[in-house]
Amino acid sequence: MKWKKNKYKNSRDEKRCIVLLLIPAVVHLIIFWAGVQIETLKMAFTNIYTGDAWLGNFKWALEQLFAGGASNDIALAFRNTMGFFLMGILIVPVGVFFAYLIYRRSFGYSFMRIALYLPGAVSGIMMGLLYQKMMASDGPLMQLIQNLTGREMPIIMVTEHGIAYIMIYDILIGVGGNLVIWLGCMSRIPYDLIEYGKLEGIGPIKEFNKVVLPLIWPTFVTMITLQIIGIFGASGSVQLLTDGQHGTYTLSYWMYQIVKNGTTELYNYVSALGLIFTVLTLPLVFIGKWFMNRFGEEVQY
Amino acid sequence: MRRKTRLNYDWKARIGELKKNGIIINVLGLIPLIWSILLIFVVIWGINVALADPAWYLDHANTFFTKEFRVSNFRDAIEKLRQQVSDGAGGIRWASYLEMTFNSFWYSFGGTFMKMLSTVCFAYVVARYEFRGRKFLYAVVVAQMLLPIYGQTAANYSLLQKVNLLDSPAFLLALGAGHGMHFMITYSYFRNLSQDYISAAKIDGANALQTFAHVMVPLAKPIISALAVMNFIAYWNDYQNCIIYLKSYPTLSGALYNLQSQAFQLGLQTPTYFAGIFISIIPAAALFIIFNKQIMENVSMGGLKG
Repeated sequence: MKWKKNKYKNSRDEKRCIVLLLIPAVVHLIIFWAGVQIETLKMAFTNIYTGDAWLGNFKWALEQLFAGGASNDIALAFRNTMGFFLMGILIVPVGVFFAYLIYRRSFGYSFMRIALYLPGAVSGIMMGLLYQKMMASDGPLMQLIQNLTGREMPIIMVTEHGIAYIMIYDILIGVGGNLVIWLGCMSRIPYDLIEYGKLEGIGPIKEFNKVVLPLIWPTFVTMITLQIIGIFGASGSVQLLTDGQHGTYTLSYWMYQIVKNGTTELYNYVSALGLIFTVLTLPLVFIGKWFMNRFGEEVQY
Repeated sequence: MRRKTRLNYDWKARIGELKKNGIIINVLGLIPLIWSILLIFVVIWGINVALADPAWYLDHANTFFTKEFRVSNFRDAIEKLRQQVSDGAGGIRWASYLEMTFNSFWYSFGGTFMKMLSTVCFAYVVARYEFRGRKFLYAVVVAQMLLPIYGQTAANYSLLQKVNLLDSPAFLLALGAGHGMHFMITYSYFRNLSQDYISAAKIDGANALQTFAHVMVPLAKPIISALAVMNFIAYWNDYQNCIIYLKSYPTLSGALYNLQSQAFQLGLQTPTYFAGIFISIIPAAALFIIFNKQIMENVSMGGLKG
């Protein structure tokens, strides 16, 4: 089919502008996005020792994934990843509720807005280290708990409850993570609607359920969908707090550490495993989005 | 209604507002308030440890408040915090705190510049022009967001090695991604700007590039600056990329992460190490304190659908 001449009615000057402005992003997309996808595919289908095309990497990845046994790192990492994924999903509504209370300007809302967002703005290393020192068996918090309860051993020990130890930190830090998005979303709600609800005599809980939540529902669905998209990448703060020790490996951290440690002989297996997870993610995203949309309708305002 | 300064703060109206909120909101509001106090308390405790006399702290790690202070911890941290790196000729050398600070600055400024340049140009063109391939490019951006390919660190490393961007300041080129969430926010902002601005610039004789640079970019300055600050903070705090891709150019975040287990070997006790960490967060924290309101307001303006 012959392309219709000047279909888009852009002048020569505009065409020049379009091309010039597209260059940085398109070049980056070609090299660092498409290039990486091609490299991943190439590595996943190549025998690292012979350089021949083969499917052995996938076979290895599937065997690792479904093999049982306590010593199986990948199966353990898979379980941990699912735990972090569920935690990530549960944090979302808590974050929305906190944002709603700030939006309603409850006592100390300005302070809360800054304090809850702060961990995202300062160094993760600092927050992680503070948490580690605070929770250490010789740290002040454990000392306080021991004084209050009379128990000699700390309640949460990283060596015994590694995953719980990381999750507590992630919940504490993560709730305010999307505060900017939720507050932005709520600030767009027409004030008349809130006032109208008040005149009708609805309370704050009903206001949240019947007015605010339906109006921010599309964003809520988007945020949950993003969580589902990142299902196999859910990793919490494993690298920061335990470096994968004490049974806290996650899939993405396991893959990351292979590169960090320069274990080149596993690179192609990692690529194959990554592709398997990518394929598994696709239906999950659609099922998740369909499921979420059953609970609410898109509202225009 | 808006209260700009503390001096003009209308306390009576605020108390009236709190009363109007009712008991449920005020009681439930205590949960995030306590949560926030806890977070701030942990940070204050950290500052308190950074100021503690290391000899005193050794026997009092389990106390909340320091009794013996030593401000020179900060000077000691700058002198003692260093990291071993390759000297490029098969040997090793020590990177000083100042060198790591310099690396953090160029990494954060460079990364932010590359990302913002790419994002703003890309978002503007896709939002404001109709051209062949526009829908395809938009679809690629959406697909890239909807379907992340897992396990790409190995492929990324291999690719960067092939194009000679590994362990070099040229790695910044790899940070110039114009897609992702920031594209969506900027795209939505440009899309909502009135066509009248472009028409007026045309009447005044501006060409398309001049219109972009002198009219549209200044109009989008609030969202661009908010995203730039967010990017700078993210790059300043980034340690994952630095420890893999920039081994010879240790940044403060990367080095402080690596030094977690080696601090004692370098003769650094916890208070000195904490002092080093607190100095390292000053640029990001200062930016956050100065721009937090702009970030909250402007990112919302561009914001997600909802």
